[in-house]
Amino acid sequence: MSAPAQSKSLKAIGEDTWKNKTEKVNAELFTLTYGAIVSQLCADYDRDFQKVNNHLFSMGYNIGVRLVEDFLARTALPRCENMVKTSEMISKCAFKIFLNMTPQVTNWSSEKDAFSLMLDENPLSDFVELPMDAMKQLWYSNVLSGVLKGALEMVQLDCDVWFVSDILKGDPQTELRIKLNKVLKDEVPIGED
Amino acid sequence: MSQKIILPSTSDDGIYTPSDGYEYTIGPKQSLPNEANATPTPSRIYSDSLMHRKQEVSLSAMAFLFQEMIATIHRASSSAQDFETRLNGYGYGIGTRLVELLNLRNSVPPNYSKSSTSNFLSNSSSASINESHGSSGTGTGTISSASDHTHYHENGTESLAAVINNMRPRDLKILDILQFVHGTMWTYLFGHASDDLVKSSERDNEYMIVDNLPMLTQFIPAGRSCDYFTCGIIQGFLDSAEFPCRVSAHSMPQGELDQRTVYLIQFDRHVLERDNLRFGP
Amino acid sequence: MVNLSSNMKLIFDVETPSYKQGKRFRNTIVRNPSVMPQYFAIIGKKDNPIYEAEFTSQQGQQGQLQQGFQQNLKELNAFILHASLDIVEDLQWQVSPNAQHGRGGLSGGFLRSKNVNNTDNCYLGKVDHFYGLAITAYITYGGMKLVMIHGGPPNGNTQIDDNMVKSFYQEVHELYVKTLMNPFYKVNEPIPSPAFDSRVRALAKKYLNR
Repeated sequence: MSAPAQSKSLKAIGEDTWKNKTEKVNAELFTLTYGAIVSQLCADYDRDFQKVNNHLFSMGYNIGVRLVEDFLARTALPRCENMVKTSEMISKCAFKIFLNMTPQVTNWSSEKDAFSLMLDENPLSDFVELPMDAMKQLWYSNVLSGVLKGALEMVQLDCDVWFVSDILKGDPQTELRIKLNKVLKDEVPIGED
Repeated sequence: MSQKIILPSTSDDGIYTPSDGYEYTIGPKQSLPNEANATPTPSRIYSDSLMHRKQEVSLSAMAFLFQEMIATIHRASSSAQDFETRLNGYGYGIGTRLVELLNLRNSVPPNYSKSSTSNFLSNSSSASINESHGSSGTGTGTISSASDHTHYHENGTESLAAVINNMRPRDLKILDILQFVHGTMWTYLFGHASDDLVKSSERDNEYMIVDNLPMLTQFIPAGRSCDYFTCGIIQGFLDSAEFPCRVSAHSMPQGELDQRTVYLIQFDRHVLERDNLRFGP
Repeated sequence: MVNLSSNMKLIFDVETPSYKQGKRFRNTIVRNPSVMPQYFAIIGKKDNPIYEAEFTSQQGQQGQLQQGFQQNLKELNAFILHASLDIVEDLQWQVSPNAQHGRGGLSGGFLRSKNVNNTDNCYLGKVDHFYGLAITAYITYGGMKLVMIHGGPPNGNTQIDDNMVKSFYQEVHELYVKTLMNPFYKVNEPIPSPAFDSRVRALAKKYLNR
């Protein structure tokens, strides 16, 4: 299958799954719940925003490792062979099915091992304005970094995932970057040949 | 004028700059003559409309987030009671926000959204605005579109208040506000009105809201501890509207409805007294 | 709560009887006939101001800073408003707070607004007066009280344009809700945002002091 044709069908799969096979809820409940989580963490960690970032990341990671099963069950898509296909899967299918978003894939590295997702609408950040001290350090939507990290690890891709910029910090756009470190080999269980 | 009060220097009329904002230790500041004509300080949250865009995410995503939140709170809690209290607190803040948001939105006349859509399309720089994409021109995105949206919003046609003739009356009676919780709030949160609203026959300060299948906790087996998030939302809502109460969750299976949950609301005594005094039995 | 105690002795001269002090207050407005200031506050659940501002009309010469309330009387504003809060709290639970019944000295139509719609119980209209100044109020769904002292032209009582004042209150109410929706804002805390402040002032210019 040629790349454009496959990406078109991925888009169609994403939209069809969202439309017909997904139970939906009010996005604002999601937004408000996440807001409660972040603001409470900031209080609990006494405004040590680095700790909050890390906690959000680990929450996301825990979600990500379980989310993949849900995703594969719903879409029955095969494992991706390379980062380009992975990026398509993430942006056209995964984000669509879970968050009804289709972030743009851009800023490929020359070796095609890293790309960025541009989130031009982010349900997590509706209504949010960061306080001055948080603006310098807090990556408000950091749970998303963790989700991607955990999910990709479950499909044998060891990646670094991090936010490059965020409109909540005053940046012109929200950019999430994914870089492949290495492909994890499937481990052969002890005792089997 | 005999003695001049010496105030902190930042409140001297000449030194005050419009960009400082309210400082509660200093008190009210006076507007400068041409200040009100200046472009307001740019701000996404004040430019964005409060209009309900009715966007959705998957129940899956919500459930994953909810369950991870539960796990986080669980790790920090020292007892089941502590857990329920903390979880209640997370919901409480949401409830206090919803009492204002939902009533404000409810005050907007029903024909508003039709006229506003055409405004969006004619003014926005993005051609592909549609409901399902959710990119409804609220100021996010690239630099150029952000400034377009800011400019448009600051023209003043975007506020809900401008199109509201009369605000929805504040609920003054227990039954009225509980109707709002059972109907409007439940539908907003869970997609449907609650399955029942009941007044206790035993105690006059007790009411119950019934949900046959709580949306958030349906995947969490055993115990109604996790329903304290919803309890918090209800309590925050009612407390803010000055109907102070305690809310607890109880499992009350009925027939095939084995996840049926009752949210018990116990109003403070003086709420009952006020209700009886003002509005009669 | 605004700390009035240190300033009280400067305002309330014990030698001068109170009726004369009130007159002095009113006379300062007479001396500046183009002055129409307002003192606006949002009062939280513990009677604490979470936002305050003074607005002045633009009726002076271009660029000239208009006098708001006289310096030694600014502190009176907070005091007056707090005295009105009792009335507001009583009206809060009345089914028709704008109807022509009230308590004590407020009975009778000349003090209550006549143009206010009876079903809208957020905007309370004029709730009190003090030496020719009018005090209006508005209650939000979460129990925040928006109150304002209107200092108008000194010939008789200050006239309140209910439609304009109500619109102002509704717009500020919406700004408050936007503030509240931010998960980092805690209820009942002061609103220090310059963005909020500048928008409130622009609304005052639009609806109160044209």
